[in-house]
Amino acid sequence: MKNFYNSESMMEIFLLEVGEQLESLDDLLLCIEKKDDLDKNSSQAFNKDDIENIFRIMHTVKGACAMMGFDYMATVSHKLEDLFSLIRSNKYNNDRNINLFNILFDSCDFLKESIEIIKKGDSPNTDIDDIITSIDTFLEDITVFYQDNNSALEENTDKKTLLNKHIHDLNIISKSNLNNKENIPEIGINDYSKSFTKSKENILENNNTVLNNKKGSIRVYFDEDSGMENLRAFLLIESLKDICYNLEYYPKNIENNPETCIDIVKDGFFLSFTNIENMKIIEKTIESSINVKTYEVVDSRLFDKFNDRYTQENIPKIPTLSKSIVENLMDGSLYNDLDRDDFNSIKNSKQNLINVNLLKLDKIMDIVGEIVIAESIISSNTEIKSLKIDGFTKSFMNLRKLISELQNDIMSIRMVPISLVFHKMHRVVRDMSKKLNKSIDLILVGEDTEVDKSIIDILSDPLIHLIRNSIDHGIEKYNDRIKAKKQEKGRIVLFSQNTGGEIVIIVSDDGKGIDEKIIIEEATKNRLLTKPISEYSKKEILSLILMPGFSTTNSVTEFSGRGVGLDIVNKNIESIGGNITVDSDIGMGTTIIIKIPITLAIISGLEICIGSQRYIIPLNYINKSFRVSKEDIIISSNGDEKIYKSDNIYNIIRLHEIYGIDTTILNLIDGIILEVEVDGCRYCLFVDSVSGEGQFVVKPIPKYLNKFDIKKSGIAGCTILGDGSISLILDVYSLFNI
Amino acid sequence: MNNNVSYEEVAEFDESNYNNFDKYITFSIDAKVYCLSVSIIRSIVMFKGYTYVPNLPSYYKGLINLRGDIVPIIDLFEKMNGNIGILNNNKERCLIVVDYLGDIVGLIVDYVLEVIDIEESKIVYYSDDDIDNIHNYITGVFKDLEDKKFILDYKKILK
Repeated sequence: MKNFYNSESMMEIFLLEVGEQLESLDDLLLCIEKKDDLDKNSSQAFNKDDIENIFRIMHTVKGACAMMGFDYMATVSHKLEDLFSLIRSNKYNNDRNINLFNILFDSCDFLKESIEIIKKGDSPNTDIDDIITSIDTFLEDITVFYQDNNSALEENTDKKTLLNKHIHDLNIISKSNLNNKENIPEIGINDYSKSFTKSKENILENNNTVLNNKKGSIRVYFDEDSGMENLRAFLLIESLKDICYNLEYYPKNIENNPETCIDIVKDGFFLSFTNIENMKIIEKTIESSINVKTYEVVDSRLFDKFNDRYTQENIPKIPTLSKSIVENLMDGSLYNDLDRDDFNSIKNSKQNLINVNLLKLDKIMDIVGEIVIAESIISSNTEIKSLKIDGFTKSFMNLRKLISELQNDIMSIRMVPISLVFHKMHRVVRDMSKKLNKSIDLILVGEDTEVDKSIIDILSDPLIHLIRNSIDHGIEKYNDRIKAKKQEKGRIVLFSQNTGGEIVIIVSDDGKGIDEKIIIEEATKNRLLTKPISEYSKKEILSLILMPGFSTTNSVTEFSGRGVGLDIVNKNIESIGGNITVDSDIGMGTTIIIKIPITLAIISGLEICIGSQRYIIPLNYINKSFRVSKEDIIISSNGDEKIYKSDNIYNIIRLHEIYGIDTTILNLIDGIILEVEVDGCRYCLFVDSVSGEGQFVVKPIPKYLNKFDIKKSGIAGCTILGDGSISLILDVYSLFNI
Repeated sequence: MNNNVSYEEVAEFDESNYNNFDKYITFSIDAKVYCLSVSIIRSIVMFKGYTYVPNLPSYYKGLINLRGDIVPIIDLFEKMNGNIGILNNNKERCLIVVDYLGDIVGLIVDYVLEVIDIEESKIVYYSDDDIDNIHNYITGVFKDLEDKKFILDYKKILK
């Protein structure tokens, strides 16, 4: 086991794959549960496809866990598999049983947690007794339930079973037992296995005849629970390859189709070869292979039968599919058809995706950043500028263009749809609404908005907090909603949109809203107010709930009330350069608006000079730059300077004053005025001069300086300029609020 | 322009390692000699020109670009004495770059002198209320012949 911990890459793949499988299991379960809630009339919560999918996922997870030596996880997934094999065999008539879903979600959560723990490298929690017992009790319950309902039926079928058994034995002798397996009632499983052993004897008796055939066939069974049967079979094939002639095997495609595991477990793994004289050697090789439980020599016709079935099942499918695609292409309705075959299309699209370590991507990103800097070093070199070489300028321009293309592409690689985070919220809503007994609809809008990967990772926790707050404090209890003449079902909307420079995410609910009076009361109690109450605007009052230690809930519940939630949300969002605003109407609901930059990596900006210092202002905030004449300057009664330009009056911020920089340009008419706009409010910045425009790689201010709240003084980050010096990037929004 | 002495080179300076000897780098500020444990030193560089960062305590001079890393620099003289020193942006200055708990910080000094071994027992430790020791930045003094060398407590300076 220790060796597995060391093999990092294998571990990485394991974590990634199992993580993905569990995510899709979670989605699938949520989907089924929802369908179940909607369609009260249907008696089947799980349809056949669902069960097959879940079964497949559980099997993969089990195999992978067992292979990596996480036995406790394998045990849990094995139990789940048991549960589903029961459901699959229709023994459980799957009426809507909340217990079943709870157990499934619990176990799924346990597996996910274990994965997280392993990722962190902590010692995992191997205490699985609770889960196992709960699954076992549940299994018992439904089996008892089943038996009660069906005992009468069972008696009736007993005789039939006996009859079946006889027919069955005959079938075996005629070597077609497995094809008939589906027809045998599940109740007869004991009889079936008896007959199965009998069939073995029969076959062994016939060994002589088998040997007389030109082809030799062997059926191999692997150890139960060995997992990854397909790969074990593949290894077996590899070791037999050299000693067998014309080696054939069933199921085919074992090396790249993990689903064959199920067949191998069910029917065994078939081998066929032509050199029967080597039978002894082959048998020995099989015996010595690991994980082989038993093997038997079978009639090669059995092999052919399976092989034929395989061919029949699979080959004809291709022409029909391609035919329909061609037809649909002509109709132009390919997409509709693809919907029908959802699973297949997903499988196909997956092949176009690869998983890349984010660190590698960051490295490439860094290198591209360095290339952009290097390029600007060359382009800003005065000697090169003075060179007049034919074709140089042209090829240099070409290089520039390629670099900016490369940069854009690399940036787009890092972009992921926000649905990754949004979809997690379904689960949060489900759990909360079950626990608090509130019925809630979660509506996702704009989930295909793309955000930088680094932002996605930080966004998840704040959104969970906000959603929990909405459900716990916002949405009223059922009775209260009826009283307030609202729809019985609460509604939470999660909205996201790309507005150009930033991403806007809105979490809004139609609950009871936030009472300003209560906030002020609470804030006074906790001494959070910094000025007289009368001076607070509604917006300011509402933003008080984002302060540390603020909580209006008297009781601490499982979900909220400790007064740390929103404060952490605020911190998290600020850490990625975003901001939060709160809006609320009593009785109507609460809306929380989050604005975050799309990417943190490279921005286009304007380079400005103040004294000896140079600063960068992001281009998307700048409306225009202009010079002013004396007539444009207005001095208001309290001495503030304002600019009157094209019928607008602007406030003006002198950057050299607020930053205390020595400069010779003090008169507004000597310098340049930049009109900037942020959050719908416009103002002007006064700078000495503008020195150029370009792409700048944003680097964070060293975290050592975090304690001085540099962000508050209007600095968003820094960048390395072409000549190797550092320039600060200004944050237009916080500059205005200084 | 960067005549760097990397940490590795410093470590090789003296092969004879005695257990109770600690290696210190000595440097001068305002004609006084100070010692700083080599364990935290990353490199020593000459630098010229830095980027001013507004709204920081005055001993934080700003940021410099150290081979792609952005490093905040502290004027050690100002930090220890509280006086506002004048830093000429055009004059080349000597910077000791330290790695303190993963944060890289530059300390501006006048001259870097040498690496010496100091036997711990020869350090005379200051008591907390010593007059020479205004801000507790100095843990003790080491007398080497007639020179006084002050041992700096880097944790207090960088905290």
